[in-house]
Amino acid sequence: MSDVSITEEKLSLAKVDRFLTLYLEDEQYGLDINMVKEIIALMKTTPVPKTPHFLEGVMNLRGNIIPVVNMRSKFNMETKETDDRTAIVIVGIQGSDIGFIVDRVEEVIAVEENQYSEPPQFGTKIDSEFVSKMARVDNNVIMILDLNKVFSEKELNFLDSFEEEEETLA
Amino acid sequence: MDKAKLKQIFIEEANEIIETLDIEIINFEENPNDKGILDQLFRGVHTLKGSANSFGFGRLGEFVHHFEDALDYFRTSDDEVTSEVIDVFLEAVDIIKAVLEYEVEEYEGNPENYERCLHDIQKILSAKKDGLPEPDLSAQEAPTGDIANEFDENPLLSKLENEEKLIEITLKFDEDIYFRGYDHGTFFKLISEEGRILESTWDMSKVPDLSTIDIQKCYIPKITIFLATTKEVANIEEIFEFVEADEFDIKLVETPAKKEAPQEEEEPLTQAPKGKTPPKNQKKKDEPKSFVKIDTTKLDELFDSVGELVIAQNFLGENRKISDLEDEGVNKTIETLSKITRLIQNRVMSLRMVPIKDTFDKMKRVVRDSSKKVKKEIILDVQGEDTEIDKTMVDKLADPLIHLIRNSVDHGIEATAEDRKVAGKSPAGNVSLRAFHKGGNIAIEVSDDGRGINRDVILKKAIERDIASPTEEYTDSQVYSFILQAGFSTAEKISDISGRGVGLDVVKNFIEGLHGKIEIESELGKGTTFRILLPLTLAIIDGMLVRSCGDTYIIPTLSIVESFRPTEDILHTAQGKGEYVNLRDELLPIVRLNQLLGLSEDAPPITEGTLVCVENENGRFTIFVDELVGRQQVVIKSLGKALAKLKEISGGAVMGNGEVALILNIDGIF
Amino acid sequence: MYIDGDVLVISSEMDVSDVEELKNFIESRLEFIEEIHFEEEAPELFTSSSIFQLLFAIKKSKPEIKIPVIEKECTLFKNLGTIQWISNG
Repeated sequence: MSDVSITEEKLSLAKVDRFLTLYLEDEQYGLDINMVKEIIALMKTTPVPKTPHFLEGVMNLRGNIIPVVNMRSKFNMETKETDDRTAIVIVGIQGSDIGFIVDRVEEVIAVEENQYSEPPQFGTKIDSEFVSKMARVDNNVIMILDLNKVFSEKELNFLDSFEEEEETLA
Repeated sequence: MDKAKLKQIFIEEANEIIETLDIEIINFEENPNDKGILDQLFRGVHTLKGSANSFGFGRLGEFVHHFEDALDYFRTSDDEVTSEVIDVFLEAVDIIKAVLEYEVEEYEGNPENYERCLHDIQKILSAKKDGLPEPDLSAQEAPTGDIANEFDENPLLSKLENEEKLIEITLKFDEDIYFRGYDHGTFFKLISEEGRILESTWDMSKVPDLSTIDIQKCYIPKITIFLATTKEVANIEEIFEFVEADEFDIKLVETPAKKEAPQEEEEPLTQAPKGKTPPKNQKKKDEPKSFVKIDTTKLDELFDSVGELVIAQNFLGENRKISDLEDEGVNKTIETLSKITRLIQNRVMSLRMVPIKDTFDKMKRVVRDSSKKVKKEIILDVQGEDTEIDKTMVDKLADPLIHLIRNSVDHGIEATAEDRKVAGKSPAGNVSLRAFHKGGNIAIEVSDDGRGINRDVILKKAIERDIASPTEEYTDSQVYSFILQAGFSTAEKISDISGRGVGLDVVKNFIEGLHGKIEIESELGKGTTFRILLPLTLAIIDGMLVRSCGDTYIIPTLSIVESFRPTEDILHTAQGKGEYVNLRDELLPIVRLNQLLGLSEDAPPITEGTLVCVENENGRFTIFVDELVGRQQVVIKSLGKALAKLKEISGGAVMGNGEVALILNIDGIF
Repeated sequence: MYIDGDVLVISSEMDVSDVEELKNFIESRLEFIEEIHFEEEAPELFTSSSIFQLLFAIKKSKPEIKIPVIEKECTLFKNLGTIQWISNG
């Protein structure tokens, strides 16, 4: 009898997902903690010519050079003066590390399965296709970002996407 | 150790042995009198057989067993190893490679040609054995378990010349030997008069330190001497007439098999070259070195960490607050730190460097195979095998080199010996492979003394192929470079007429992938040289730092011809065709870096900036920058696959302040 | 025998008493000597083995000193092939 209850408990534990929460404007977003490599303070990036506007540039992460994406630009939000809470979240996407500049990071939260709801179709500041689901934790609504969707296979190659943009402009 | 791990070790070792087999066989063909090479081959194959059987790799064991028989026959007999036999041996090595793969991957059946090659080997042997005395094959009939015993024979035996035998002399002198008026020196002199002293081993472990040593006392309890001599043990014993019987020991070192070892030449390097080379630089060919195998990814990690160390150190060195301290102690420490950092960097770099010899050795087989195929006699000359090159580059260099060598053999050298005779050349074609340092780079040349490149034919074809413009004037090297272009080789007949152009664009891409470049020199009727220029290591380039609109960029100095500040009178603007500068009567296009990269338009007038003249395969052009910042060695880093396709930028480098500077890709700019 | 900067150059033809003298000479100057080698480029033989025990004693007292002849196997002597050193150092 007791064995069964332990197993159930384990099962319910396994259903908990953990997310790093961060802010853009006044909205709270969640990033799957398994994708987050680390969080660092904003540092100087080197702009790379001929790349889309949301690519802030490249930076040196302990000897490795990684691209840095401005999350606000990516979601077509207004740019904002950086401050001491501006942070770069280093995320591993499809085997590459990419830095994301966000307004601030908050905390790591646990979300149980019953706390999810379907993503909204409208009313958010960002394109809803990047939001895989919503979570309601302690009266906060957190939009869970699907970064794999934010950068499709093709878009991850920043240059191709730029060329496409150019074409559409022309 | 578990079985899987053991198996992994076996596979690695087997691969190492197999790698050397090719090379040894070719070496042997070049030096057919050097039976020592056959011995070495035999030993390698024998070891392979032993371990293959112990891993239950029956197919491999079986095949190797027969190969070993054949080798053993030739190493113990005086029979000539013909070119046909060499062919079979080389094929056998290919089969061994294939069988090993079958075994490791646990494929069913035997690889292609397994049976036939096995049959060929057996045929050689049976042909030889018929009517000839049975060779001493006892060696390979020994159980595979005790390889060690079997080869526990003294390696010095192989150094004996005709009629010589090896005698082992042990000197066990008492402490008072000097006092009694004797000295090892005297005996060495006497012994050396009886033959050739090959080696001696001195037990110096009893020697105390300088403060306690008594020079009159002898602290050398034992010296073993190996003498190659035609004299008898009794003759040697006479030398020791006056020494106590227990102070020396003389015995003949038995030769296990009745094998002849007619070694014609002495090891070349043991004879000290008189004159320039100081004796302390003497290096014996077979000097045992000890090696540690390291996973290359670990080396790369170490290399990265050292890169960070260098950056952190630079940061300290450039830090104003620290230098403002004006504290001598601090400054000195920082200086020392900088020295040590550089030392570590150099040493770590040297870990990645390996001689190019292994790659060159592989090329011998390539030349042999391809010359047989096209039925041309080719003499390969190899120079600069000791030139060291980045390990990662060595691995990637083999393919382009194979391509170039095949190209030289197939198309460079005249089709027949008659053609060569008509041209006043030796019947055999010469192909040479050289490696050497040139500036801060490594140059590798593949040259032939064949037909040379016909400039006009190339140009004509290039124009037909839309690679070249009919109106433009091209230099020779520009014309030659057309054959490296993709799309050129599709011209069917070009290779027959010009002798060049078969898929050489592949080579070009390879070399550029290694941040190198390729140059072609040719003289019609005289021959062609392909020169590959590579940076010393993949990881570091010599770069010129330039500034444009506030950003710093790096131009690889390998591409830079010169830089200058232009005056108004040499600047020209062609309607709709952009800007040019007249540099010593050559009109060079000007590329404004800020415009090219879409930076701001906030650049100074051209006459107040700098033009950097660079060269790529399309010729020379100039890059306009605001100013030159300085020259520096930088560690190349990739910008990641997301930015890999950016054609103007080849990578980035982390500068002293921790920020990233982008490296311009000269080939992609213009 | 002579000193060239901090390099001591010795002859291979020293007998035991020469070596004894050399030892006394070196003992007081050891800290100034960084390297020792033979003056002959390729001597045929050596006169006394005591020179080698002196070199090993020096090495023991000042491990950082450079004495190429005893550093690894020695092929200096024309008539002696290779000399292998066994030491606990």
